[in-house]
Amino acid sequence: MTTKKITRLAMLLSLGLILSYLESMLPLNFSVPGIKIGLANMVTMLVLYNYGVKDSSVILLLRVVLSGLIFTGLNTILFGIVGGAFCIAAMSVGKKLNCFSVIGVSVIGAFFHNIGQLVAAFIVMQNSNIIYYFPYLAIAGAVSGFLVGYVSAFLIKRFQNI
Amino acid sequence: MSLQKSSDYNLKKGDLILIAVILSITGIAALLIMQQKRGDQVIITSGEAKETYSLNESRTIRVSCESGGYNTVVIRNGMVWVEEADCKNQICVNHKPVSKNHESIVCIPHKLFIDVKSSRNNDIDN
Repeated sequence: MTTKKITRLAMLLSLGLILSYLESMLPLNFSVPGIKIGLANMVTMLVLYNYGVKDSSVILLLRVVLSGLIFTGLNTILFGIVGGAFCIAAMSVGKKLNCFSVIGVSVIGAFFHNIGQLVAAFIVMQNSNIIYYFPYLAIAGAVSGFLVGYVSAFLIKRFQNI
Repeated sequence: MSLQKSSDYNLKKGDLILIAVILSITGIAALLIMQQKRGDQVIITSGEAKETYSLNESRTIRVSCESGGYNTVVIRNGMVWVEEADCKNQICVNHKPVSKNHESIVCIPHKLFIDVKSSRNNDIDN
């Protein structure tokens, strides 16, 4: 790992943290808890495409833990880790399949992130009623995943030449 | 740093299929959930905890309360009642079985609330 790469990944990690923070400040109040845009997923996508699965998993884990400690509180770390693990696993498989574009991979990531969060919520609350959230989360995830993927495609393209 | 193929940036056929699949899975899930939700329900609230059961499935639930006591709630033949409890006043045990919408059984010493959500309305006072 060269110094250049370390520096870049560190900067991308900070960018992800800023995006997490920005998103937590946005006054978007949906009636269903758990719906969010997933701005920070842009960074995960960027690292996934330009550096690979391993680096992006590390960046994702660090971002979730750090943003949990700094901004959102400890109990969101568990949700973030389970959701993030589902998300990165699904995205790397989706990327390998070669039949999806950046946008498709982002939609897959959003969908599996939601599934991961529901699994985490089920583990924590031991209540199967949590499944009622699934349709709302899945639709919101498809929309936000599409938008985030669209922006990520531009980002990945631009960052490649740097 | 590996360069991506330019085709990765534009929407592919696979993406559209993926989105269609996700939306249809969601639609099916929503339909299944709505069907399940339409049934008559029993909502048992004990302190902060809240559980929902179907009114049409027979079962016996032992609800423990925070202060250590218990209530045994029985759901059978579309009716709910408290079979047994170790509370002081036994009001919940003596309450008649409930089955209609908005009917409830309350055990104040154990902070237990049993509410019925049903399509059958209470015809008293209507």
